[in-house]
Amino acid sequence: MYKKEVRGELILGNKSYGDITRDILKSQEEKAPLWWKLSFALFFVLMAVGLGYYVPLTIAKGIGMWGNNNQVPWGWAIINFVWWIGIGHAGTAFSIFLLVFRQKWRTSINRAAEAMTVFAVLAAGLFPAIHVGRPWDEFFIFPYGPNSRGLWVNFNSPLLWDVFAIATYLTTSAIFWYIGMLPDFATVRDRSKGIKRKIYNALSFGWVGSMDKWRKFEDTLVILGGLAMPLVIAVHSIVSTDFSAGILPGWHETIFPPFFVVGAIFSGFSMVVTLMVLIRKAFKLHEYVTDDHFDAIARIITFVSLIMGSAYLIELFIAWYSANTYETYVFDENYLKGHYALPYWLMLVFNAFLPQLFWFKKVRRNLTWVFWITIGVNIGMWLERYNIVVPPAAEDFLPANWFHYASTIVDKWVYLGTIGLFGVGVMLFIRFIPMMAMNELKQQAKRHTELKPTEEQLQEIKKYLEDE
Amino acid sequence: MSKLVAVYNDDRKLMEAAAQLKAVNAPVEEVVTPFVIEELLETFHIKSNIPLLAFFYGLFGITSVFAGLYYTFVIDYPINIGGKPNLSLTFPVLMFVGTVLVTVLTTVVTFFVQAKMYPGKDPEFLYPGINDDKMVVLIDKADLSSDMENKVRQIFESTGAEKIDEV
Repeated sequence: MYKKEVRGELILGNKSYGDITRDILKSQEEKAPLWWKLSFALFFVLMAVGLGYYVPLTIAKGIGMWGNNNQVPWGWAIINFVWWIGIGHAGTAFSIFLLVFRQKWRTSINRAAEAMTVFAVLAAGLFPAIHVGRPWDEFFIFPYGPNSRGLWVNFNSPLLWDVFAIATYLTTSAIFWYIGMLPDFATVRDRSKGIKRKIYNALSFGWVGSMDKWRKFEDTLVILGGLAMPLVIAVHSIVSTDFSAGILPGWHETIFPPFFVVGAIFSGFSMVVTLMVLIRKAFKLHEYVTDDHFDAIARIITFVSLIMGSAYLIELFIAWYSANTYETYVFDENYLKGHYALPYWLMLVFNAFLPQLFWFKKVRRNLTWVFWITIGVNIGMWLERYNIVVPPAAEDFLPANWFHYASTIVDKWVYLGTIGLFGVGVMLFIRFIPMMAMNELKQQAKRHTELKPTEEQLQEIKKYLEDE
Repeated sequence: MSKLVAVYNDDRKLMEAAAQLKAVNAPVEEVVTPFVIEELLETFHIKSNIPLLAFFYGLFGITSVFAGLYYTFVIDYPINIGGKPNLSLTFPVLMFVGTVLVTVLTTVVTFFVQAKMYPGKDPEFLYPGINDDKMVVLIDKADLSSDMENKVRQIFESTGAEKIDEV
């Protein structure tokens, strides 16, 4: 149970149900502020250049436009893919894990986290799609029947599992997000006129909050959530088997599945915090996203950071303990003091050391600190994927083959393009979709009014005290 | 003017009214609320079969995915991969993912079919504020005897309905 004596009120300012509707929809009903227009334009330009020019360029000229080479076959594309997928796990982690663990403070953040999931997974999905080099042959991946050579796709391959897992994850998260929004779309519909009303009427599927519909709505959401929770773990474990099923030292590790899942939740939570700090500041929603919310997330980030730190230590220990020359080389020579020492140590600082500052209450409650530490975690998690993808491949068993990796301008722009896609998505989301689940907030408001004495009870208490 | 509507703006008052209406066996047609009130659903014993159906969808999903994998890898095109068995231990990965996909899609379709919702449908019932801050109890007047109507109106008044209306 949520103990407000311990964690504080979830919604400050004694809001009525009507206040909640007005506060949350203010961002949509007022004119778009200048910062929104500017950020939208910036993200749109990034998206247009990255996805509109450099992606077609890659497809037209081939993967040779990237920095990948024979020795390092996976470069920025896979780093970015894993990074985005990781961020995409936050939505489900927030909505479902916290739902299952009865953490009521998820309510004002879950909608934004789920939105983030959908856009991040879209951004992630782009990379494998263009990495195949010939996207027009992608239908071969789907088991539409034995293909022209009488073969089936290889269902034993982690790369194929990835296709199914990510497609399922995107479908499930998008559906979960959308169903949860139906009642809120109905709220917007009732408050708007003309063409806007028509659009939201279509989006709300004719929602009316009758008892029967609420029952079905709740049951469906719980089932989707229950299915999505193990899916989160499955998806990122599958992503990790892309590496751990390989034979390269530095990839061939049994620790990878849990390590990747935890890392995903780590980067996802951090991205949620980064966004919520900005949203709260921009829309003055400090009564809904309170300091206590950030406090709670910061505690989780600290805990996850400790797991990450132990995972890094275990990797180092096992490499040493294995007494395998190739294994020790990767960790000792390559990571700790070799060619790739800088990204490795930066990763350790950002992921394992900096978040430890959250042990101090002052840091947890200072949003500037919270913002920069979470930005650091996002950089650190990108570096972690870099350290996994590049160094083991660059320097493997045969020194004669060693070849280093350098990204090209195309790599960088495709990455910026996906950041643009994500940004455009988030910008549209905060402008056109109720960015907090109003129906759940109202339920929350109801819960906390229940805990408060009514006016009559207060009078009685007063009278009793006076009599005493 | 065939429906009696009582509008509440406080869920505690609404719950009180719901309990009293239930006690006198009033033919309540519907209670429309802007957010889910679990206690209300319990009071009126509202149940859904979606969880049970989802379980069967899951069973269907897992068997069909397994059958598909078995057909492709054991019957139709067995490949000898280092002498490993064709009935592979890697099947559960895709069986799990496939089951989730099948169950999610079928459950959602069931939800929309059962709730009779589709894109562009106009809401069946609208009253100002029902998706904002008003809770509404609906009773079809055709189901009400005059005696019952008096009782119901009295309950609405005594529990502090903001407004009693007819639509």
